[in-house]
Amino acid sequence: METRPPRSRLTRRTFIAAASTTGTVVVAGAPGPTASGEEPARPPGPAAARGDGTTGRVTFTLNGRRTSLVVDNRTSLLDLLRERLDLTGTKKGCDAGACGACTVHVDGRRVNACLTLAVRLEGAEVTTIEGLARHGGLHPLQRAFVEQDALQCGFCTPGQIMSGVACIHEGHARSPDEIREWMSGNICRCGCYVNIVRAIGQAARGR
Amino acid sequence: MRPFTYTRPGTLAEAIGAGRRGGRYVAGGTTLVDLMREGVEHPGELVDLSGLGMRGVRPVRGGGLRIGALARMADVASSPFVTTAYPVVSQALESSASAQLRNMATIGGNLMQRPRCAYFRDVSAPCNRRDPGSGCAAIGGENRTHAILGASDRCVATHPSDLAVALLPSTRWCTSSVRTDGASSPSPTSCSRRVRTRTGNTTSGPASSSPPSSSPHLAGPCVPDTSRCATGRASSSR
Ligand SMILES: Cc1cc2nc3c(=O)[nH]c(=O)nc-3n(C[C@H](O)[C@H](O)[C@H](O)COP(=O)(O)OP(=O)(O)OC[C@H]3O[C@@H](n4cnc5c(N)ncnc54)[C@H](O)[C@@H]3O)c2cc1C
Ligand code: SF4
Ligand code: FES
Ligand code: FES
Repeated sequence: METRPPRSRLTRRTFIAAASTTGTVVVAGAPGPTASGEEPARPPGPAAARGDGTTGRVTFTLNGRRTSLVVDNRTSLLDLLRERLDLTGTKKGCDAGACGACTVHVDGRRVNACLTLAVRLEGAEVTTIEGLARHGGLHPLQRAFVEQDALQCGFCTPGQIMSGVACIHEGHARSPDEIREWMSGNICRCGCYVNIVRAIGQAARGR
Repeated sequence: MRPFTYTRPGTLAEAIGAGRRGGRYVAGGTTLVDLMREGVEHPGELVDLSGLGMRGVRPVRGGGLRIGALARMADVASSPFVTTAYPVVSQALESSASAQLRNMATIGGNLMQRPRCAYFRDVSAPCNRRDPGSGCAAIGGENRTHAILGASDRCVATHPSDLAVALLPSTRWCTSSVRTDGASSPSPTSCSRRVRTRTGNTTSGPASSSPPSSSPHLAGPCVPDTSRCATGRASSSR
């Protein structure tokens, strides 16, 4: 599809370190949009040069920052985040809507980024796991996941947390059974469901 | 996935025009994007319906509900009009897919979704629904979850929508239903297949006091995709 733009030389370790000290990982790995909102010299890929209408410019808010870039119409939000914006917290599991690893919030609702075409996001407000921690501290559900040991390999965790935050916000976290039902779009291959449910219950109760 | 052009019409007339010149409608995209990625669908133009509004759920005079084709599954499931008068519809929606998908997927897209048959998705297998005339791999193959009654010798897939099933008991009769074969059918099943169809009902009074048997209206920008909509039976064939 698109060629990969040159990655920044930030390693996973320095990235995490930077993230935990600044409390924001939004721009840590990626050259962010400029003040004008236009992308800096980020190559849009060969597709942009096609000029046959199969690419488009899209402008949206990503973790609180205005972002504007040209995308191949085929690009999913998931691939855009991971492959072009270096926001690799959002994971790709099935790429078909079935596992929830790619869960992000669009206009405040939890959705599967793998089935969301980026070109359709004009004017949208997108929040990823990188944008959840605000003001230097972890989100209460992130803290609850740590306290309840709600992960093993951690691959499903960003999706679980984004889905869990929405689940609580929707008011669907009033009992363990209700949490299980409304979190059924998030699969954990390590089988950490008991602790995931506990963590969401804890955050929902505000503890 | 093959390259495609993308348009987002602002009016119904533009959307219908784009559909007539061969554009493919996308609503939530939860079926279509997946099938495009699998190579099952390859539209040259995607027509995004999200600029058309039509997300409302409201009672109609004389009973029944009018549900916008672009109303999202999650919003219809939690609409007080639906939960009070048509709990079966609400429950069917909430047992479908996942919370994330229900936030994206629309009622029109749900009823117009393509078969969930493994051979339909497998572009190396014969499938009359994907490639008319190629045969049906499911008839002699893996068909445990396929139709037992009402199937044809060309396709044994059932309609994949939970909502469509729930609409059957909620629907009394159709006042008009034009099928792709040109026949008119009073069959309630065809109402759930043909999204433009108006479903009549015999009850009066506000929706909240209507019995669950009174019928919902499904109306909206769903220009029937006549090349795809089959006979309108729950287990439909070409
Ligand atoms: C992992 C997974 C699990 C699922 N589980 C279930 C389940 O348990 N139960 C269930 O019922 N469904 C299930 N589904 C299917 C899901 O409900 C549908 O994908 C969804 O309802 C489709 O709606 P959409 O708006 O996303 O449609 P789209 O993908 O946008 O469109 C689907 C089709 O309808 C056409 N279309 C869409 N809107 C219109 C319109 N207004 N007028 C004319 N044509 C239109 C499109 O051209 C396309 O052919 C599942 C899907 C996935 C991915
Ligand atoms: S059952 Fe229908 S969808 Fe499945 S292979 Fe046969 S023709 Fe195709
Ligand atoms: S990667 Fe999107 S749901 Fe699995
Ligand atoms: S923690 Fe490994 S998949 Fe959930």
